[in-house]
Amino acid sequence: MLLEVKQLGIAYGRRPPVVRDVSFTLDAGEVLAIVGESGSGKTTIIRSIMHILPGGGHIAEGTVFFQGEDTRAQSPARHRELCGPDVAMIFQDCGAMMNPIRSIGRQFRDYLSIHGVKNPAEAHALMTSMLAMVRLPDPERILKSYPFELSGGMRQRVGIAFAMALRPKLLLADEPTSALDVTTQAQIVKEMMDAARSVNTAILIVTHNLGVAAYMADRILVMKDGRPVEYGPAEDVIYRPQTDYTRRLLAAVPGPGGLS
Amino acid sequence: MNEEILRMEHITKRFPLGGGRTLTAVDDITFSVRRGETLGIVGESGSGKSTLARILTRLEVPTAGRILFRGEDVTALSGEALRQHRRSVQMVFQDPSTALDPKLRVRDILCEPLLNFGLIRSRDVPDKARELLRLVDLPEDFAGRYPHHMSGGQRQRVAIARALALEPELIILDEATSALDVSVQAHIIALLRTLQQEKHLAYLFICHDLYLADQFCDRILVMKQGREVETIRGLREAKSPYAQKLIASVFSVEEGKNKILPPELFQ
Ligand SMILES: Nc1ncnc2c1ncn2[C@@H]1O[C@H](COP(=O)(O)OP(=O)(O)OP(=O)(O)O)[C@@H](O)[C@H]1O
Ligand SMILES: Nc1ncnc2c1ncn2[C@@H]1O[C@H](COP(=O)(O)OP(=O)(O)OP(=O)(O)O)[C@@H](O)[C@H]1O
Ligand SMILES: [Mg+2]
Ligand SMILES: [Mg+2]
Repeated sequence: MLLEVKQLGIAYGRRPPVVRDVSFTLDAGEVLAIVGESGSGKTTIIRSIMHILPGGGHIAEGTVFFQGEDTRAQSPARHRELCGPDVAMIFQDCGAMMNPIRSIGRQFRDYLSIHGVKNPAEAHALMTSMLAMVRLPDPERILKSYPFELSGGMRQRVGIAFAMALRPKLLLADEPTSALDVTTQAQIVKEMMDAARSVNTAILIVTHNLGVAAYMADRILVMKDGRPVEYGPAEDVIYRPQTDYTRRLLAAVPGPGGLS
Repeated sequence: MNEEILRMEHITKRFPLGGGRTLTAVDDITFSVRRGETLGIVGESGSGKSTLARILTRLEVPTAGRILFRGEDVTALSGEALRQHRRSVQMVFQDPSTALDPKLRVRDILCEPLLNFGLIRSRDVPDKARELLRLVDLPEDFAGRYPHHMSGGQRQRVAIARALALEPELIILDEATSALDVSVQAHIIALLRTLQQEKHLAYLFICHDLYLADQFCDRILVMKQGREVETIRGLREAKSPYAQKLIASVFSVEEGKNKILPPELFQ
């Protein structure tokens, strides 16, 4: 078992918990999708796995085991060590996570260097191949650009290139394709699935796109009001939903010939 | 009633890339929008959609072309006239966390523009903030929060409420529902429709979800590398191979894992 989350409860500061009773597991090469209500705690859950909750956010109850280790017992230094090569995250808001006054190339080089890719030629080759993988045209221009000079979808793809560069064992992807047009989305989804199949990357993806969840996921967790409402094999959740909330969600997906 | 509210004529925008190179982000785009109408813009990432939106709100100046708003040339407005223009044309930005001032609480984010234009008094702020939060399906007690203490979709709804607050005549929605689950998204779309019927609002709806654009928009402008490919009244009218490729790339719940992606995406 690569990741095992049990009875997780998460709170910000002294407020009441915003997430409760969440349990799931993830094996190497598996894909789990978390879907559900805006504000139900999806981002909070995946950030807690990397121990990067902002604003006094903390695990209030339950456990998170990664590679057999209790991550709550690990030191912050150990967390930092694991972030990158073992666990990497694509943020919901990649633009806001970047340093606005440093070029993409500089930020990418620094990130790789911290994790041991120090040879400049090797780093350069890796950066350009990753930018090409996420279908960014003209990688040399991208490396020279500052975040504000890129479109929303280009910034998101830069974030994906960072996260996938070190071939992490666990990829945490928070709305990785929500800023992407549908063709680029299809290409990125395929690249993520290739990583799951060829190098056994486990993927935890948060998405509002139920079509993407249905395509990618082995299992789906549906969240509402900070609690899980449904968890099971993707086919069951999508084609045989057990709760009113999941049914309502599926009915609201815009589609060809859809009403509203 | 159905008079033209906006006309973009031959708009071009180039950015210098250094080393004498330039990038043409928007290339000779012309379109118009009538009162009460929704024009969608779809197209690949980097095709110039947001740049076009920023030109329209005058956050960028076009390299060439003319913007007519209510028949008046606003391409070179400045000072008080520009301020008034920005009141009539509101924008919901693609990136809500960078668009909301992190130092302000939600109630001030929502009400400051109203105070600046003298539309409400300070003592009206709490009531007005609650009213706007209810409109976008957020709890009233969010009025006292800071944007970074909210989820992505909650921030996006604050940005939508702020744009609606000034009762503009034209609203640009740049991926404005991309962080919302489909059920909340349906609520927001219904709200936008109601306001459109009541107030004859015009919308420019930039969106990656082709079927959502299809349902919500009267016409859809399809863009590729800064240029117009075609303008259609619905996806069914799409003729260009480019639009067909976009449509074929959509993941659907019905197809699930059986989805076959267009092979040309991987060449
Ligand atoms: N830093 C914070 N301080 C206090 N409350 C927070 C903070 N961040 C998030 N919250 C609250 O915790 C709840 C869960 O937020 P989270 O961002 O995990 O939701 P989400 O499921 O990712 O939503 P979305 O789909 O809109 O991104 C929300 O009600 C939010 O307002
Ligand atoms: N300030 C700037 N300086 C230099 N280039 C820019 C600037 N702003 C945008 N660009 C470039 O213009 C092109 C169009 O960007 P724009 O943001 O309009 O795309 P978009 O269609 O909105 O894409 P997305 O769907 O990814 O948001 C991109 O190649 C981008 O890098
Ligand atoms: Mg989130
Ligand atoms: Mg954009």
